[in-house]
Amino acid sequence: MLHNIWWSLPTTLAVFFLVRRLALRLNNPLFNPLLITMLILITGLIITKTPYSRYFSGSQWLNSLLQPAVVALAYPLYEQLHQIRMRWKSIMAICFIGSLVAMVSGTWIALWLGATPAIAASIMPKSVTTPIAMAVGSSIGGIPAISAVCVIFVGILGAVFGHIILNAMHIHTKAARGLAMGSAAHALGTARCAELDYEEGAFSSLALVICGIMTSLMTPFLFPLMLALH
Amino acid sequence: MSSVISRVWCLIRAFLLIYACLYFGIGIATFLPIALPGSIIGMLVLFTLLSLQIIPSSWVKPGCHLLIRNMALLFVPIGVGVMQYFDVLRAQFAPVVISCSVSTLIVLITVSCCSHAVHREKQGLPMPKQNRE
Repeated sequence: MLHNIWWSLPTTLAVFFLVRRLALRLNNPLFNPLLITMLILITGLIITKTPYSRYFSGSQWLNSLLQPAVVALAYPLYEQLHQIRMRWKSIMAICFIGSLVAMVSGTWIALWLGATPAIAASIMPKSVTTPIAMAVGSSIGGIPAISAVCVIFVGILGAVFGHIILNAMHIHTKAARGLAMGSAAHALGTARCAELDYEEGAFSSLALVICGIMTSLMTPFLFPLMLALH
Repeated sequence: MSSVISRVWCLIRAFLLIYACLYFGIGIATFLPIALPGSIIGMLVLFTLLSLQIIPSSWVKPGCHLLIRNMALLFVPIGVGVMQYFDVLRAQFAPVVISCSVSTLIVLITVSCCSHAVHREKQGLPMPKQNRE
C-alpha cells in the first residue's frame, strides 16, 4: 500500500523506465511513455485512494529538475548555432505566426464554445511551457492549475500525434518538424523530438524559447482585445 | 576507478554550471516587468556563455544530455496532477478539450507548412545549379 510518501519516487522511476523500455520495443507512437506512465500512476493512486498531494510531495524532486532541464536545452540550441544563424529572420517570423495562431485560435474557439473568461484566459497560453503558461495565465485572470492542465493536455496531444500528422503531411524537413512541435506542443513536443532526432530537438527547443517569450509579451494586450471583440 | 571519478566530476561540474545559470536567471527574472520564468532566462544565459565560448561546451554536455534524454520523466509528477481537476474539466469539457485539440492541430499544420516552404528552399539552394548542368 502506498501509505508512505517515499514510495512515490521509486515507483515513478520504475514505472517510467519499464514503460519506456517497452515503448522502444513496441515502437508505436500511440504508446507514449509519459502518457502510459501517467495513466498507470493515476489508476494506481485512485485504486489505493492515495491523495495526489501525498504522491507529489514524494516526487517533488523530479519536478524541481524541470527548471535545470529547461536551462539544459541551451546545449542543443548551441550545437545548431550555425543552422540557426543562417535562418534567424525566418525562424523568428515563423515563431511569431505560430504563437499568434496558437493564442488566437485557442482562445477564440474556447469563447465561441461558451467558456468563461477565466477559462479562456487559462487556455490562451496553452502552447508554451508550463512555468510560462502558469505565470502568463494568472497575469490575465486565468486559473494557473487549469493552465497547467491545458498545457499538459496539449503537450501530450502533440507528443503522441504530432509526428503522425507531420508524416501524413509528408513533411520531412527537420527544421519544419522541430519548429512545429516546439511551437504547438512546447517542452513535451521538444522532449519527443529530442528522443527521435537531435537536430529536430534543437529546432523544437528554439521554437519553445522564442514562442514562450513572444507569448508572454503578447498576451497582456491580446487577451483584452479578444474579449472585447467576442 | 579513475575514469569513474572523472565521469562523476564532469557530471557534477555540468550540474553546477547549469544551476548557476538557473539561479542567475531567476535573479534577473525578479527585475523584469513581464512574466518570464527564470529558467528561460537561465537558458538564454547558458546559450550566450556557450556561443561566446566563455565556457567550453564539453563542461555542460554530460549534464545537459542526461536532463534532455529523460525530460519526459520530469513531467510525470505534474502530469499526474491532472487527476485533481477531473471535476473542472468535466464541467468545461467541450471548451477546454475542443479548443486545445483544434488549436494544436492548426498550429502544427500552420508552422510546419510555413517552415517547410521557407526552409526547404534554403536547404535546396545549391540544387537548381546542379539541375541545370
